Amino acid sequence: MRKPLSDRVFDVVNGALLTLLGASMVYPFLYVIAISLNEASDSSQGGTWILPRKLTFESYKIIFVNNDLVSAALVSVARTVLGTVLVVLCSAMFAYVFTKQKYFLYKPMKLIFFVAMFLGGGGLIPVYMLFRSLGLLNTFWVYIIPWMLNLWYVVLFRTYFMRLPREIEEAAFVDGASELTAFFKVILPLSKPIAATITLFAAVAQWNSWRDTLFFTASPSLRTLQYVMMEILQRAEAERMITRAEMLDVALGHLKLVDPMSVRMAITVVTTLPIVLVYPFLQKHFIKGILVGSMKG
Amino acid sequence: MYQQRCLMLMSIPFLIWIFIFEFGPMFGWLMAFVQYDPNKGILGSQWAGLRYFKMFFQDPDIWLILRNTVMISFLYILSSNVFPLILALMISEVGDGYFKRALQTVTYLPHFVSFVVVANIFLTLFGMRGPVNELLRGLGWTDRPVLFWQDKNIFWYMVTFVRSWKEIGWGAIIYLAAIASVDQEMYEAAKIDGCGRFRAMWHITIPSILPTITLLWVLNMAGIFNAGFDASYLLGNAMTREASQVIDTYVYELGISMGMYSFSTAVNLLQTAVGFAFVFITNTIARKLTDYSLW
Repeated sequence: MRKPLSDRVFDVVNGALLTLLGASMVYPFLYVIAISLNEASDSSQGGTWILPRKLTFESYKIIFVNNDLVSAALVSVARTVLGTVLVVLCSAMFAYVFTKQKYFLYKPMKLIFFVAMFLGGGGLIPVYMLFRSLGLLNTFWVYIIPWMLNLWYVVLFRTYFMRLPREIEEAAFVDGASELTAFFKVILPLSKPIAATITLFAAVAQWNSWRDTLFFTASPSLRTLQYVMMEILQRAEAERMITRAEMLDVALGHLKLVDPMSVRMAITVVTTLPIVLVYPFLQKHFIKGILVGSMKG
Repeated sequence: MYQQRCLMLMSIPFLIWIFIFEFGPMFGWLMAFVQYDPNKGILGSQWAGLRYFKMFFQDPDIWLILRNTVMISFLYILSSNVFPLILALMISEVGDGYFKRALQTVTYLPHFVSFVVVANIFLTLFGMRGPVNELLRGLGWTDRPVLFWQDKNIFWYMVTFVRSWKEIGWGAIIYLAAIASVDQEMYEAAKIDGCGRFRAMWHITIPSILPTITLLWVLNMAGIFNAGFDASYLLGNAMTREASQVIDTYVYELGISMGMYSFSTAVNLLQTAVGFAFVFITNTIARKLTDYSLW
């Protein structure tokens, strides 16, 4: 049966609009890559749209030998790896205990959990004061310890654990395994899809985080890649402010601004690349993961 | 109890963590009611009552900040509910296949990119010498660069645009799932009755996913006083300050940069309380109007 004309028109228009939208999602990234690979002086003349006009890797060479950036990258990697492993393990372990209704602390634990979920946490200043009294300010641990457990991840893990067949775990207990052994040897290996989803969320959150650097640290050695990029961005914007008086000259082409835009874009690429690389592998899991959570939670 | 020692080992450290990191800051709200002295602690400081709350309403800047906060978050709540819904409706009309999957992949991606990166990209794209200005000039619509980021009259809309771009695909996921669970037989029946695509959407899809729509609206209302720190801090500048300053940046500037702890906590507390109130009010309205609600 042929589709009626109105249906075909609908499909074409719909497809065209969606293609346009998809392009608007991809284009900004392509532009960033193009600028990062283009010669700095050439970019400032404009006209670079999708492909670099004068290809050069100069910007990347500059950032890879910059000590501040290399150190920031190391901090970013360290907090991402350590923070992700810890939050995934801790949340999973806590969620596992939440499947044990016979546990004598089960009911008080549940109450505490729900109160924490709905009322817990607080504003910026109370949190700042808490970190200060704990001595977390201006240490690497401020990136790790306050985010060691995530109540939302606990809910996701628990929902998943509850659907695993009981018998497998029971068999381990008959063999004399403790809950700790059962958790590591039986439950975790069976929970790879949800663990993968949460690992992605946690790693992305850690990698992208920059506000905690701004709020809770001052030492340059604790700067992360995102934070350094933020600083460069703010500086670039500030410089643009100063030159506002000369704006007309710039517009008319009498004056050329020396904006290290290519370098900034190269940093943007380097900061975004890890996410773009891991994302497709985990994408198939995460949709299932959040939907399970949203229905139950 | 001894038999359950392993479970205790696996849970008590986390309960302690919850007490410190979840309940600890709740205790910190008290700071809003005392004249906080870091050396004496919250309980040792002098009681101040509602002084800081009054101070807040006496600040001449406050109405500007409140207006910016409410407008930015209102525009965002509106767009973050409407655009993803439209996108989900459009995607669900496309048959399964490469196009659909590719589309989903590219629209979810910006959600995973940090706001710093997104700000960086859009400040450049819409910058004085960015491609958008080049395009406008190339089309002859303007002969001098449009200062998108220096114009305080359009700042709210620019921010909304950037945030919507980042979250539209991600927001559509939940609607897509809701649409996928609609009974397909209803569409077949509607088709036999000669019902077009738009009418099917309006009379079948929308009513079927109304619970999801309601739920998301109610949940989002919590953010009405929360315009987001990222957008204002990263996209705002000295020229747009009048339109960009919101409660979150205000609290940061006064609290952490200037050390006015009690005052900024009071502001923060008001913000949170209003958020709760808004969820409550929306929920009540939603229940009256649609029979669906959070509780």
